Amino acid sequence: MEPIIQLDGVGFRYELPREGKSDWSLRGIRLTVHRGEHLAVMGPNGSGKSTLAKLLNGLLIPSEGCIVVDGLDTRDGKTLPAVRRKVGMVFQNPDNQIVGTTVKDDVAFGMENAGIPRKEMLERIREVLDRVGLNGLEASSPHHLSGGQKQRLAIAGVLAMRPEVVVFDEATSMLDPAGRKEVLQAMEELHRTGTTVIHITHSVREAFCAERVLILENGKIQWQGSPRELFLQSEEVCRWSLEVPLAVELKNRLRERGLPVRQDIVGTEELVETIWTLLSRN
Amino acid sequence: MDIVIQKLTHVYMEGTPFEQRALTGVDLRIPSGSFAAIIGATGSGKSTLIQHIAGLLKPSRGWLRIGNIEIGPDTRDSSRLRGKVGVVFQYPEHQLFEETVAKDIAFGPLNLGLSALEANRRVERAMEWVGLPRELASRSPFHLSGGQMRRAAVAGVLAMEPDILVLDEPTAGLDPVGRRQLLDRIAWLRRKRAMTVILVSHSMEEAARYADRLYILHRGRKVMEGLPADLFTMGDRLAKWGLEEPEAVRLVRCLNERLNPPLPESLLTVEDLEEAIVARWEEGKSP
Repeated sequence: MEPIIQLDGVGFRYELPREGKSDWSLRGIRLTVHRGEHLAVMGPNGSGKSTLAKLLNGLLIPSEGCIVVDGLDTRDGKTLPAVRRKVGMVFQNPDNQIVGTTVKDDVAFGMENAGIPRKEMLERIREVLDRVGLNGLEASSPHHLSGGQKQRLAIAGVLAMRPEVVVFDEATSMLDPAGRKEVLQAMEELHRTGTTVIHITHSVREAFCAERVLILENGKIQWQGSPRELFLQSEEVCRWSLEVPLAVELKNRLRERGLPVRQDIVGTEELVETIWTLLSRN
Repeated sequence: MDIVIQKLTHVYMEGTPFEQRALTGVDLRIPSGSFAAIIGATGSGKSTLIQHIAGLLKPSRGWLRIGNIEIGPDTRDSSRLRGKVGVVFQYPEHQLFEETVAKDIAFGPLNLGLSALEANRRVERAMEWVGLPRELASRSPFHLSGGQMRRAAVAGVLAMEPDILVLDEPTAGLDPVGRRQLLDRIAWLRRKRAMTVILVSHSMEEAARYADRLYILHRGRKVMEGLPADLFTMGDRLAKWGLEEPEAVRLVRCLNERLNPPLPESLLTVEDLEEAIVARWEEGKSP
């Protein structure tokens, strides 16, 4: 697979106004993100997840090492606008990302800044609102949208810039269950149509949709692999302060109590099947 | 201190073209000492409701009574509620502002007119309640970790020693361990201080684990109130209100489609499930 983002020996520390340089937020990060990949990034608070996200589109520049996005080095100031067009970001709080007074204006904001001709702008607005399922709401005020709709609007604004990669930084954590589902569907749709999706999340259920999961702790990559592999190692999962899916937690608890339940179960259906067999055999 | 709400209606910017009705005819009662969870989709009126309980909004129609304080459309001064009801707003760490953690937590108590000595005592106690190590007292709140900042902000509200603690999405953005620690502390403190806790949350798991009473709002109306075990097992109706079942309830339902006799439906947490399954297993082993 072709790489879209490459990080080589990346370290980052914040400059504090009074106390000078902080401790390393990230150190020694080596990572290749492939074109079209769906990658989930997990880790406890303060592990460096959001710092990583901001490094990927040049909002932060590495203190050491380098990041190359589709052939462009983020340390090169001249290429930064191009890097930011390639890597779009969707943040946590929907209300902080809305600038327009109508849905249409809000989507247009990024394109206006990039000097895209009006005719093309109108086409792209129609196209991206269609993709996130907000067509028909062009003239609505963003403040009257639900949380899930606001996040989809933020996604539409990012998509209008035709990015290669979209980074979701805990983009579902402030939404109700219905809103979360809407955003996850939009994410899935992006992945299906070939956009690279990087999803930073605390939710194991959400990370399960990804192809690869990466765990950060103390500014370092501690583990990477498929979601299924991850939940076979439940001890580490607890150490990294991740939440395991209910089925996995229940399986571990039943095993500890001496019930003959297989170690490699990760899904609800498998577990239901096993428990049913166990309880009806008696 | 019971909370009684009668026919509460709230209309924002009434009589203007921007008029928006947020609550319609809400009746509810939260008994003193409850751990109440208010759940509902975005826009269901949760925030408007808790702002009434905090005395920050006045009803357009109807009234509410908290202890012996009654607030209606014509009430002039609702500030009497302020020392009694403490509110932890969403992302409370955005409201940290002082130079040190101790000064930040002392801000509320000093505003209530307490002496510096008493305020200091309360700072120490509140830090202990939320599990913040003493040595952090002299640190800048801005150099704490995300979880510590959240706890410092909660300590600032607890230091006013409210009878009623309202928490609006207190765990959003925290990792699972941080979430569990914070709510465990709150649950412990509620028993210790006989405090009423009102939790607003999008997490059905949290509501199922901690609350003893559940209130469901939908489009500005209270549509249901009762025990978590009753409300969380209503299946499709929850989805209609934009909510979902806790994971444990879903798993029990899947099991019960095949299991005869079925497991009780009232299993809401992984611990409940574990006990019920182990009990059934042991039962089968010894005839």
